[in-house]
Amino acid sequence: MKKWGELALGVVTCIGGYLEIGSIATASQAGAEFGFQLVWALALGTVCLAFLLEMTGRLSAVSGRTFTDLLRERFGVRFFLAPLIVVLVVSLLVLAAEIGGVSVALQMATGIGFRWWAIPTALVAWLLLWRGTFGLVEQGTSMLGLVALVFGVGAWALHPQWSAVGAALVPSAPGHDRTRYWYLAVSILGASVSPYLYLFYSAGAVEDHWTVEHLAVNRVSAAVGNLFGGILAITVIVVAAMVFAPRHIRVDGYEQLALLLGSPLGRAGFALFLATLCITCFGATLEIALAVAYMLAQGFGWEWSENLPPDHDARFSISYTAVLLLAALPITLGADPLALTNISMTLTAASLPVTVVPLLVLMNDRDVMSRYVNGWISNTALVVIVLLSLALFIAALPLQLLGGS
Amino acid sequence: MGRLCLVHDVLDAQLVDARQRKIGRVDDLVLAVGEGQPARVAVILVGGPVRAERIGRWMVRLSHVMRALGRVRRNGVSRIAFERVRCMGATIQVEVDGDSLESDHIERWLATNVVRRISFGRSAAGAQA
Repeated sequence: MKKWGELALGVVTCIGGYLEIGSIATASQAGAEFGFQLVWALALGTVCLAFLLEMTGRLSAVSGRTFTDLLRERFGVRFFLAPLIVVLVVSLLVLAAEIGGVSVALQMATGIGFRWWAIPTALVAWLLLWRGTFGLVEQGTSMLGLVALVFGVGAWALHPQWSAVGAALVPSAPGHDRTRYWYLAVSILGASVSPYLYLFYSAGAVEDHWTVEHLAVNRVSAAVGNLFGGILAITVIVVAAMVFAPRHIRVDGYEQLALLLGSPLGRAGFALFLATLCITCFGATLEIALAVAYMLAQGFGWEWSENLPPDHDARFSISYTAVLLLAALPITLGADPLALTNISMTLTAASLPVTVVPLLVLMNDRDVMSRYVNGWISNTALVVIVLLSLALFIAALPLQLLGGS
Repeated sequence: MGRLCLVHDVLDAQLVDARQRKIGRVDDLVLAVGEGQPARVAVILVGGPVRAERIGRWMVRLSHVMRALGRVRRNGVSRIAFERVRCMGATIQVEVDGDSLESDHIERWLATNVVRRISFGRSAAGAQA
């Protein structure tokens, strides 16, 4: 029974944590401008993420250590500096965007400008991390995050042609604006596969004391949870394609997004959209702030755990505090939340090689993984992910400059 | 214990103290070479300045600037005699008290001067150890 409970929890965590500012913004932009056509990019990103989560979860369950811990120990401090700096910068930007998402939702709900909500959002997040435990942060936010299922309801109510959605799983050439199309494809991949997700997942496996007995739970929840999470994100594309595309509305501000669910579900849809935006972005805010603190603490060997009182791991606790305050600054100073989201998703896509290439080495290291090293399926998938990450690294910035607006 | 590769198994490994608290990583190692005697590992070095030297001159300069800006006077480097090593596995356990380590002075300073002053938080006093 305990195993089933853990499994259900794992699946719910993946689904409830799937949507956040990046996936909502990029999926609705894609739906508005290209209909269902970019569904394949989301499916590809979801499959990549499922493999990466399964592997980092297995790495931690087998070794009892986090991905960051092994990154530092196996590759040395000089190499470690590269993923550390890259992940720090990218995560700070994504965190700022998530705080922006919460702030925009609160602006739409109250009429008070989003700039005023960034610092209060960061403070509430900080208070939860300061006083809460890992279980509270992980499960609480993902349970509440299930409100995002309303996108599925919205898509259903719009009666889309599901066969056309399915057909879009196969990539096709765009009829117009090719750079914009590829730019959005890259943004969607960046929004789906964020380094903070697998760093957080790997640290969580250690926080929850996973062992090899959890390998089945890990595998099933990574696969099933991401399958449903991915489908949920695809319904965002579907809703945007049905609501925005026929009216030729292009999403260039969060105000338009509010129409998304208002159209199929009326006033309740509008309220539920705000709740979804607010809760999912807040959940991601907590996870990213923790992921950054985990990476710093584990990389430098400080004491760390969300379950310890803050004065037992002072550097760790001060890290997430500082990160939250720093990330609240851009929005407070008036940065455009949607522009911030788009830039951070492109940079996330470009940042992947520094973490996925070392993962390929670690997953085949018998000293670390003993007999649980990658088999041919996982290795093939990981090699494809590495190649994809290198392609994204090369293409992301030029596409941001050419297709970003 | 069997073979031990210094770079592979010891350098950058997680250190824990006698009470199993994480106290940093093996940032560098010092070998002692006596006349007529085989070389042996003498000291484990832990701390930012040691790490900076391993990364490169630019990092050494950067850490000088940061320390000057933060008015940090302590050198922040701990030297742990290799004889203190008790156990080597996923982590290296050393027979020292983490509270006495120079390299952990920022941890203690933050705990005393920042974290415990935010009194409504979960504090160690009265909470679980």
